[in-house]
Amino acid sequence: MNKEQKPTVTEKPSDMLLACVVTRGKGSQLMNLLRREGASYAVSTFAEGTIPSHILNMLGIAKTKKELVFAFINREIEETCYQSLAHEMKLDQTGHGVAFSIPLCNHPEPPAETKLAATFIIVDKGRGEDVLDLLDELGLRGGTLISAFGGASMTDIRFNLPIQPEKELIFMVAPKEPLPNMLKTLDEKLSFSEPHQGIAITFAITRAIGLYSEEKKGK
Amino acid sequence: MEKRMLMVSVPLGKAERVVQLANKAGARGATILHTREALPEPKSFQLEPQRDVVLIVTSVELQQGIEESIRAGFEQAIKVYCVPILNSVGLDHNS
Repeated sequence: MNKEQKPTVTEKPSDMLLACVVTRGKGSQLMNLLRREGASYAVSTFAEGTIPSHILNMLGIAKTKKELVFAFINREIEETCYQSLAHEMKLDQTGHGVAFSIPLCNHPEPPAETKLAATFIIVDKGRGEDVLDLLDELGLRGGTLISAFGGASMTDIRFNLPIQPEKELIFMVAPKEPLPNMLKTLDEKLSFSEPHQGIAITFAITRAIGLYSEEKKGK
Repeated sequence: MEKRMLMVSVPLGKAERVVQLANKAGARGATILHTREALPEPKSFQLEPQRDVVLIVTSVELQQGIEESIRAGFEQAIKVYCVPILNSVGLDHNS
């Protein structure tokens, strides 16, 4: 293909990232729904949800199969997307999944102050459980585990075989207040300040639906 | 230092090329997710092409250069999205 054949993008530019976690098998339905509502792009990947239950955790069945969907939308269709998610995917009811909006860099009105934040923690494969245990100690529960690849040093070729480091990505939504303490604890307990130990990043969330809350459970 | 995360979507198997181009422009690492893409029109018998989504965390100063380097390195149009980061840990030794 020649460079001249690059297609020109005419649709409205995406300024919101809509991230959704749903039961495995519903990812395609969700992607089709969001595309129908006007999302410019949507991708889905397999993930594992962690149920915040100590008993299930002790029995070793605290993991549930989930799908994580990333959809890129324009802020004008955000409202209709959330209405469709509530009506068709029942995300307004607890236990059907969660969805939340993260503004992108080209968003014209950056959020002033938000109550929630999303966290990405990337560690070597096998250390995800350590991170989840640490977050549990801090009272942060309900993370989503995703298998990933890569790192600071990329594919190495040994004996003619490409070797790619495997990673685990922990994706979690939490109130903004305990996050500085969480980052500090990750640094202290898992030595994130040292190279190749892992990274943790947080993003502002402007809107969310279907989040699990301890208060709701207690009612 | 203000940081941003780039999300680059490429066809399956092209992630390595994205990482090479990003590293050439100053990035210090990347994480790859294997994903499936939704087609614009849903069909009764649906095939979803596989895509690699590359996550690159970088400083604001390097972000534009990395984005340009990735776009220039591919003949077809590449989708690159940029997400602002609030706080981070584990990246300071890269700066």
